[in-house]
Amino acid sequence: MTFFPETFFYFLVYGALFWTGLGAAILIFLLLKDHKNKKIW
Amino acid sequence: MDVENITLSRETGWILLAIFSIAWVGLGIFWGRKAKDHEGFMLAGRNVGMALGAATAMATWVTSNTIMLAPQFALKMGIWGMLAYSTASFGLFLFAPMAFRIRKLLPKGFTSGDFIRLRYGKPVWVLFLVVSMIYSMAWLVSMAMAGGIVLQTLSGIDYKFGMSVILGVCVLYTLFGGLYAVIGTDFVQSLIILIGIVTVGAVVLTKVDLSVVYADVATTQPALLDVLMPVALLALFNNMFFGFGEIFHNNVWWSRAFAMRGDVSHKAFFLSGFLWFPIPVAAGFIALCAGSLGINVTDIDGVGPLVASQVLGPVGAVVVFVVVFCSLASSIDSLLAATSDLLVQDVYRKMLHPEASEAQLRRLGSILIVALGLLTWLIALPRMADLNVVLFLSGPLVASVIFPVIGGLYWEKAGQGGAFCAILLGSSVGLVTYYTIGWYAASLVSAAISLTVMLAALRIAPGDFDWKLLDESSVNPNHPDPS
Amino acid sequence: MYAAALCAAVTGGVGTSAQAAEPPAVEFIQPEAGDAAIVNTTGHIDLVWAVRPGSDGSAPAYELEGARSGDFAEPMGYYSGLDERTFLSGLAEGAYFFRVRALDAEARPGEWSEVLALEVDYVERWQVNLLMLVGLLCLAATVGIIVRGSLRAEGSSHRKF
Repeated sequence: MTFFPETFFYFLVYGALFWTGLGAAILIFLLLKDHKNKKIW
Repeated sequence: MDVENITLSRETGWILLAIFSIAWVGLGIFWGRKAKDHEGFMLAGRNVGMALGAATAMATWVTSNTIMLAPQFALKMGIWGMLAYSTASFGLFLFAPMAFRIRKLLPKGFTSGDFIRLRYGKPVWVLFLVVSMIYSMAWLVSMAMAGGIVLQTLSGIDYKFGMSVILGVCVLYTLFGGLYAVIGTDFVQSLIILIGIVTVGAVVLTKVDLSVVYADVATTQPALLDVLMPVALLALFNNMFFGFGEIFHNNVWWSRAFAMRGDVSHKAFFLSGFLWFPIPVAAGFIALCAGSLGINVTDIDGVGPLVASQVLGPVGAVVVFVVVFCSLASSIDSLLAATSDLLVQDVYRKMLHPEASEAQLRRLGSILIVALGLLTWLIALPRMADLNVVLFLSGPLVASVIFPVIGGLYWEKAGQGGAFCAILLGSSVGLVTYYTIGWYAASLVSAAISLTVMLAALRIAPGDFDWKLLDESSVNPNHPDPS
Repeated sequence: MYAAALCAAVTGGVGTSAQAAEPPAVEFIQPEAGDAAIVNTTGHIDLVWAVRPGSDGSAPAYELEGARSGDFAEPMGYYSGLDERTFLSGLAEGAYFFRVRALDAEARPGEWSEVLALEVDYVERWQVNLLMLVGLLCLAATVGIIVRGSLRAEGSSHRKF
């Protein structure tokens, strides 16, 4: 059995959490941008 | 080590439920005022921007399954389990170019059924509607049931009450606000979901050392780290094609494509895939930390909330409660709206009463939202354990529609006969596969058969479709022009 | 492994008498230990145990041990605590042997239960490989149709479709 390496595990977990948080930031940023251009809906 | 009580008090549960119910229904009424006509009600004015567009696609695809199952997948199938779940986002990525094409071909389109009827004619359309309704009802009922079950697990609120309240709230704000309310609340819900997941994950990381987690798992649960774990790989493509089938055919996604601004649609879907991708890992890895945290998993179904509340205390249970509520509501509201639209447009307007007025359509839409909610409630009430099977069985059904849809969008030679046979044959063989070989092959086999039939039909009975026929504004002079 | 916390938890709740009673006998109730090894195709399983009916003993703690050989030459502790069930997962292919015993108020161990033999045997590799191959082909077809179709449509977009 070959294991996923430990560094990959670290990268996966921290990466996923960072990416998820980044997603929230992106959505807020986009909403503000749309609001400025009056293009929310 | 004894398991601490993971539940909130019933009072806390009711208070949280009340807060969200009032807030969501209030928002529904507030945003619903933007809808000036039935097109506004159904498609939010066809003007939804990037932020709301990406958020609604992402939030709708995050269901309570995502939150509750991701930790289970991690614990049962390890790293590959989480990665396999992440591939469910591929459907969103692939729908992006499709959304672009759909907008181009059907500038005045309303539903996925519109496309199928215009592209392939009535027989295929009827087959398509049957598949879509079975899947949509299965999804609705499973979400309603999940709501009642999770509420009961987390706070002791009786299943029947909890389920009824969640369903009732969703029906109300969808009724008042249409797609405006659905999309607006989806944005709030998407932020809550993302922030909630990060919060729980980050706190878990402060309480464990990942190298200790890795070492523990390597010792007592080695298969979870296997690069070629058979159990996880077995279902990888099956689940992927189940997901493709869900997204490519269902009016939930097509209505969003129509609702977003023309230049935004494809970008928003692509972004939604990007936003969704890390969620199964971010939400799931906490289950792998259970051992290191000294948590004994007694019930695999509740492992996510268990770890969250062990690590964050009652706050953890509140976070799980809120995130699950949001993920449920964001899916239920979309289903109610999109399914009601499909029935109003496809069945009532296009089949029965083409001359129906704005007011009639709007009223019927409202009636159908309530009727769908009621039907869902009745089916979910007795809490039948095997209802989830219906959802899994819809896998081969929806998977059989994948290639007819994308063939229909891109191949002028794809014809009615091929599409009809592809759906029928794919579904049947897929269902047989479910019971003979296993659930893990049903959707994949269905898709493969469907593809083969579509390809064969290109050779045997190629058509020659005129794309202009899809543009109803030029074909049907009676079609109201909203601008 | 959890000995210190365990002692504290156990002695906290149970009233002790001067006479030290034997910890009760324990048995697996799900799955039941039998002669034949239980075949498992997924690598995960719920194990449930309880005090054997007829044994006396009150609110004991438990210790679950597992090994890859029937003689328990290299035992691994899987669980230690007050619960009467646990979910095990990530078991690699091969033979596993489990046994459980009770611990009394002074954390003295009782008799080991009957051994539960498990044989973890995943779905055949060739099935997995076949499904992966079919999956890859279908995925290639899906992506190919959409990408090629989109590029073709874009290329001809200055004409009307």
